[in-house]
Amino acid sequence: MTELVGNSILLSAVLFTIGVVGVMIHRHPVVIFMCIELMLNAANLALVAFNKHHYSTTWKTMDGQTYAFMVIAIAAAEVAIGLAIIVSLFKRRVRIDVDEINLLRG
Amino acid sequence: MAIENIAFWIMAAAAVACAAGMVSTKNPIHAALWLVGNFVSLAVIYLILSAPVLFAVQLIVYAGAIMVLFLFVIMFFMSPQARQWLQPPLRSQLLFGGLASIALLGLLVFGFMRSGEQLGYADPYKAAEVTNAPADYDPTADMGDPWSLSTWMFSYQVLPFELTSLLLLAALLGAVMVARDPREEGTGRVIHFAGTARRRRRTATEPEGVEVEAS
Repeated sequence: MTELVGNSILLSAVLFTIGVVGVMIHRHPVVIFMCIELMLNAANLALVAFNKHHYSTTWKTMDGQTYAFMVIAIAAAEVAIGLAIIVSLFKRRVRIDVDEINLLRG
Repeated sequence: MAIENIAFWIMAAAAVACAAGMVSTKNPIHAALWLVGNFVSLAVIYLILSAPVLFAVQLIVYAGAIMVLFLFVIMFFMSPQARQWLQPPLRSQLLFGGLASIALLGLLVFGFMRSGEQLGYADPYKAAEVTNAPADYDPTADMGDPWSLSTWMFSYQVLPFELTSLLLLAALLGAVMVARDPREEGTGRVIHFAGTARRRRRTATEPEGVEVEAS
């Protein structure tokens, strides 16, 4: 069980790093967004693993899973807003590249 | 115990492979499908880490709703005729991104290993070992079921939970406000999405980027 927690934290670190790589090497906003989702998932995995680490019969904490739950809800809100921004970009431009998006107004 | 570890390793390998596939593919739809695979393997890992509620929520919200939204946007707005959908990364992007990522991974792993020492455990894996308990005693037997999670959430985390609902409402309104096109406001015209990609390429230099038509 404890091995499982440690390995989950290491897996979370690896997945977070892969997400960072994706954000750094891609230039399309949709794919960058997917990589951000991957990083959020890695953080969720760490939260769930630490919850398992700290759970005991005397202190039945569920804080980690509760936070992961709220991270999922907030990620859904973030995806709605982000994809709305990307849709409005698609409606205005032909080639979408984060290097070329440098104005806040449409 | 053993079967948990075997399942964990299989799912961890699947998660890392799917993540690597997502980062390295050139096709955004393939990237989205790789990400679905990653989410499903992470959901199974949540199940192994005794979080069955999060397993269900992960499958429903992430692999269901969020990825459908992603695929919806990609399929509606990206032209399938384009030969290469994603621009290849620049050389300097690859170089500095790779270096920074290796540094980040090293920092994360080092911090994790070091945190166990700081807390007084020689081996971070052994940090949560329960002393003087029976050999077959599992303190997390009833952990993470809907009853315990909801009891905890509505006992100690009520305010964040309610604020999350407020945030979702604000995000709903914000998404509608951002995605609407003010040029179509009140005109009664509808946007015909089908064929906009072909038409848009031809009229790329025109200020009116969206093809509209009287309904």
